[in-house]
Order: sequence, then structure tokens, then C-alpha cells
Amino acid sequence: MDKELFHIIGVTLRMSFFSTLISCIIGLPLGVIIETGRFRGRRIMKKTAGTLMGLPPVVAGLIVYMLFTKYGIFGSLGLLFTVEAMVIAQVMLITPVVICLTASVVSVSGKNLSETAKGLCLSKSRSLLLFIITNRKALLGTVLTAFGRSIAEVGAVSLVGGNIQWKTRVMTTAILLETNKGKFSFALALGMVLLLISLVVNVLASLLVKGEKTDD
Amino acid sequence: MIELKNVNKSYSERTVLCIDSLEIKKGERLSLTGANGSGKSTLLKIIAGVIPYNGKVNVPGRVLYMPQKTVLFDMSVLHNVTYSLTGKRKEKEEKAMEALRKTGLSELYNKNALTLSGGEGARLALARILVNDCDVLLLDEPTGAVDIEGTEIIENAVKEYSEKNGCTLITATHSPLQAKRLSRRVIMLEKGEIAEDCTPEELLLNPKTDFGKKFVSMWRY
Amino acid sequence: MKKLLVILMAIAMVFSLAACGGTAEETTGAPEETTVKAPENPTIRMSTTTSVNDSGLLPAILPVFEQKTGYKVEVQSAGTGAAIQKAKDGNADLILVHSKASEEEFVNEGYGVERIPFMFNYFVIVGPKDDPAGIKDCENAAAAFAKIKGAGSKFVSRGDESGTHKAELKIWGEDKPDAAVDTWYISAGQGMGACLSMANEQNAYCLTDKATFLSNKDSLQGLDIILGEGEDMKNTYSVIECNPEKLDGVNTEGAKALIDWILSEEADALIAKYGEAEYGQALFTVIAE
Repeated sequence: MDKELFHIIGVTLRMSFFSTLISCIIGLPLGVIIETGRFRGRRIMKKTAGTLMGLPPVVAGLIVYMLFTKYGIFGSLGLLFTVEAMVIAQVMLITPVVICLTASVVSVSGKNLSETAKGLCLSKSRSLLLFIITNRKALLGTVLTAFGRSIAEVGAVSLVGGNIQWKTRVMTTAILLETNKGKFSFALALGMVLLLISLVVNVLASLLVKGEKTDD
Repeated sequence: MIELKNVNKSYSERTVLCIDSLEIKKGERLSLTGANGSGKSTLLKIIAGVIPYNGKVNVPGRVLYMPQKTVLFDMSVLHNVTYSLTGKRKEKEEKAMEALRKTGLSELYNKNALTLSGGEGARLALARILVNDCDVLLLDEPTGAVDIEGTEIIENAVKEYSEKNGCTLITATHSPLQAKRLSRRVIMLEKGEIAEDCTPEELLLNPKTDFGKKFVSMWRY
Repeated sequence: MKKLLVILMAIAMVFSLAACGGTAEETTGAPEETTVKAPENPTIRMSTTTSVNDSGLLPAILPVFEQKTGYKVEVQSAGTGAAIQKAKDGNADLILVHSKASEEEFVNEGYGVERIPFMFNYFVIVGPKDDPAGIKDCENAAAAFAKIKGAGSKFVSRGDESGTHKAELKIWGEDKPDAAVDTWYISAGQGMGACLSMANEQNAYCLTDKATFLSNKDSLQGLDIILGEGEDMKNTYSVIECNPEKLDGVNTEGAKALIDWILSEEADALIAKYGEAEYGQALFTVIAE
């Protein structure tokens, strides 16, 4: 079991890391743009992102399942029941959260920072980066929220991942499985391991931001 | 030459700026003065192009603008200055150190900008602007909360930069005396309209409008 | 932009609804107002496995019992392990499962009164229609499994210690594949329905109870029953009354009444007939006393 547990933890971290990474690559810039930009449709985009935050995980899972099923649009890619498919479902779930949280973080310093950046003739990408850098401490919370959602999610990943042993089984689906086996206390112990992983990631992340006070 | 024609800016039916016509020659040094809420900042923002407005504004060339509520970036003093530069890292840092020396901040280069005092912060904001080249430089109360010594450093740096660069300089200030030190022409705004457009000496000695008289007399005491 | 998004979402919703629709089951014969005086403790808690529940047998026969006696049967379904664990925790009055070893353990530990086998059916091996491992003429499941292993054809295992999983492990015997090494052996750790979908997606074989396969057949177009009714594929269901001496709050009277009824000729007839109308074949065979 030990060897298998490490494998499960590995898959869990891989899935959560990549889904968080991709959601942040998409969501952080979009969040800044939605909050600070002046273009048509930004209010609708904001509302859409807010609505999608409430997307039930199983629905996201179903959509990905329908897309990648044997006779689905992307069926030929053979991605169903792989970690990649799990990441895709997670990205659907988490990106709206990243967008909304980023927008609300940025809104605090938004107007003045945006005028400062324009006054320095910064390019669009440079000022976008600036927004992310200057708000990095608050945005870390956004990233960790995304990571937490991703690592704790079970409905979508069991549907598109299939909870396959040695392949797509993650902590949450393993907990569900042990619960179904009736091994309630073992399932609870796995839950503790999951919390521990979450704790370690949180501590590492805050150390990362603290560690660069003078030297950025 | 900077040209403004029938420029109008209002926030929910309250007009904050209304200028029929204004021309500023290339390389001219101009000060904007007036009471709080007279429209100085709004005029600078319109010239800088950071807010929407009604009317026609033509500003040729590269414009740099330092807002009144300028934000220091949460990074080192040096990085604040290099952030807007492009090119090789070493060249960027040399340029930035030069700008920091001129504003008396070179010893603080590796401190986080958010740990600076108000006066140091104002000097850093200026250094960050002046490290770039431009055709038009817009400064909104660059010495707003700065002591006498700091004010002198900032004014000298601005003067040196504009003389060397030959750029058009527009500074918003509460002080007619600073207007005199920094410029050859001063525009006094009153309730969003141009009340005086003259040399600083004329404004100080012989203001034309009642408001101008009151404004300047307060500075004599 | 917004319109496009709305349309996309709508399409996605329709797809997903269609996908669910295939497996939804309608309950037959809603219970009518009871005419019998309700017993003192009218609630019977039955803990059973998902596969029993998914077969639709209980909703088809229990209303008859409820109407006759005034009892109300609350059916909780979970994996075999969880179903038994719930009973051990005192949250059930009787269990209906299909895993002989676990059942005997349940009784030996004193949680259950007596194991009463009352019906059986056969596990079947379903697989891709072209039968890539060529198992359709095998004598029994063990021979078929050996061929699957030899050919390295994909095989989806429940992997959840359920009754079906335990039956599968028993068939493998010593030759049990190791999921860590044998990549063709997919240990899914999910319910029967999910495993069948997976087998359908991956063109894999799967050991399943007939009832679940037949009730989900519409959404399993790629699969057929390749091998059925080998002597090692018998699947026996038992009921066990929870022991009131070991567990508090057990509704012994209710459990006894229900077990008596399940063993009655009336119930036997209902069970033996179940499935004929819907699938054209009976799904369970009653064990004569």
C-alpha cells in the first residue's frame, strides 16, 4: 500500500499542480484585463466568470466526458480516463475562480496603478505583469484557493479520470473508494494525508513570497 | 505643439473641465496652478490620455505622466526604475543608478520601495519617470508632500532633464513660486476654466482676475 | 460573444442530459395507501449493495410487502464493504448482499443472526463485440480469464472489494494480474455502472452481474455478453438479520417479517418473474428451500 499511496499522492500533486498552473496562466491575465481594461463586453465577461464559479464539478466532468468519449468530438485523442482529461475538467472549474478572485484583488489598487503604468508608457503585457507582481501577495491566496479546489475535487475527476489504480487514482477518489469498501477509518486517515499535503503546499507557498523581501 | 479644442470633461453632469482652446509649444515649460478641484489633474490626465473626454486633443510624441497618486511598485528601488526600461540588464541598471544618484536615492537601491518615507517615495517616482526619454513630460504635484530639501532636489532634477532633453514640460502645482522656478508660462485654472494665462512674474505681481489676486496674496504671507 | 457562449452551454447541457437519460429507471407500481394497521415500529432499514439496487428488483417487489404489512422499507445502497460496515455500526436491521466470505464473517463476528441464501443469478463476461481474446467458447470464466490474460486484452476490474470484485478475484485465483505491472488490467475502483461505461469506452472485457448490464445496455453499444453461465460464475444473494444482542436499536420484528416474506411463495413468484417484461428474460433464480 505504501508504494501505491505515494503513487496516488504523486498523481494528485501532478493533477493539481498542472490544473492550477494552466488556470493561473489563463485566469490571472484575464482577471486583470476584466478589472482594469476599458472595452465592450467586460461586464458580461465578469458576470459570466462569476456564474461559472458556481458550475457543479460533476457537470464540468460530464462536459469533458461527452467531449472525449469514444464517439465524442475529441474521442479520437483517446484522452478519456487520463490525467490530462482530469486536468482539463479541473481547468474548467478553477479558471473562473481565478478570474474572479484576481479581479477583486486587483480592484483595490486598480485605478492608480493603471494610471501610473500608462504614465510610464508601459506596454500592455508589461503593465499586466506589473499588476500581477505588485499584487503577488494577495494573488497567492487566489492561487492557493485554486489549488485547494483542485486537490479536494472528487466528482469531476472520478468521472473523467475513472479512479483507475496506478493511473488516475487521486487522494479524493481513493478516499471515496475506501469509504465504499467500508474502511471508514482508513478513508479518514487518507483525508488527513490530504490535509497534510495541503498544509505543506500552503507553507511552501507563503515561504516563497516571504523569502524575497529585498531581492526581487 | 500640443493643441486642445473644445475640451470638456464631466462626471455625472458635473463639469470639471471646460477649455475652448489651448496651445502649448514644443519645448515650452508650463505650470498649471489653481485651487483644489480647479481641474489641474483632470487636464493633465486628458493630455496624458488616461481618461476619456469630449473634444479634440492633439499631443504629438512620447508622453510620460506622473499621476498625483502615483503607485510605487512592491519591489526594490532599483527594479522600480528599471521596470519601464528595455534592453540589456546591465545597461538598464546603469541608467537607473544614474537616475537614483540624481534624486539622492542611490544608497537605497536595494530596499523595497514600500519601505521608503514619503519624501523618498516622491523622489523615486520621479527617478522612475526621468530614466525614460520623452517629448512631453507631465508631472502632477511632484512635490506635494515633500520637505524643502527634497523639493529642491526634485526641481533641480526636473530642470536638468527638461533642459537636456528639450521636452515640453507641464507641471501641476499649488505654489506660484514653484511655477516661477520651473517654467516661463503659467496657467491658472478656476472651476475648470482658464482664468489666467501669463508668465509667472505677471501672475505674482499683477494678477488680472479677482481669484488670481486672492490666490497669489495668500502666498505672500 | 455572450450569445455564442449561451448556445454552447445549452448544447453541452442537452448532451449531458441525454447521457443521463439512458440509465434513469422508472419505479414500477407506486405504493397505494396502506389498508393494514401500521406495526409499532414501521421502519425497516435494509443495507444492500449498489448492484442489487441498480437491478431494479427491490422497487419492483417491496411495495407489495409494504402494502400488505404496513412496514416501510428504507433501502440504503453502497458498496458491499460499506453496506456491511453500516450494519456493523448499527445503522441497519438487515442486509442483502452477495459476497459469501464477507457474509460468513459478518455472522461469525456475531453481527448477523443467520445467512440465508435465497436467490442466485450468473455473472457474465461482457466485452467488445468482436471478442478480441476469443473467449466465447470457453467452458468457464477461469478459462476465459486465462485467455484474456494471454492475449493481453483490456479488462476492467471493479477493484473496490465489492461482491462482484471478490467473485472476480476468486475466478483469477493464483493468476491475479498486478495492476501496477499489467497495464491491460484496469482497476477502476468504481461502481458497476461506471465500470461498464469504462469497458465500453476502452473496448475492454468486464465481469458484471447480468441485471446491471441489461439495464444499462442502451448506453453500452460496444459491448455484448460474450460468456454467461459458467459453473464458476454463480452469484448467490443472501439476506441476514442483524443481531439485536450485539447491536442496539435493531428492528428485529420488522427484519424477521421482511425475511419471512422474501422467503414466501408470493415473493418467490415475483422474483422469478422479474425482468421478463423489461428484458425478455428473468434476472434471478429463486433457491428452493
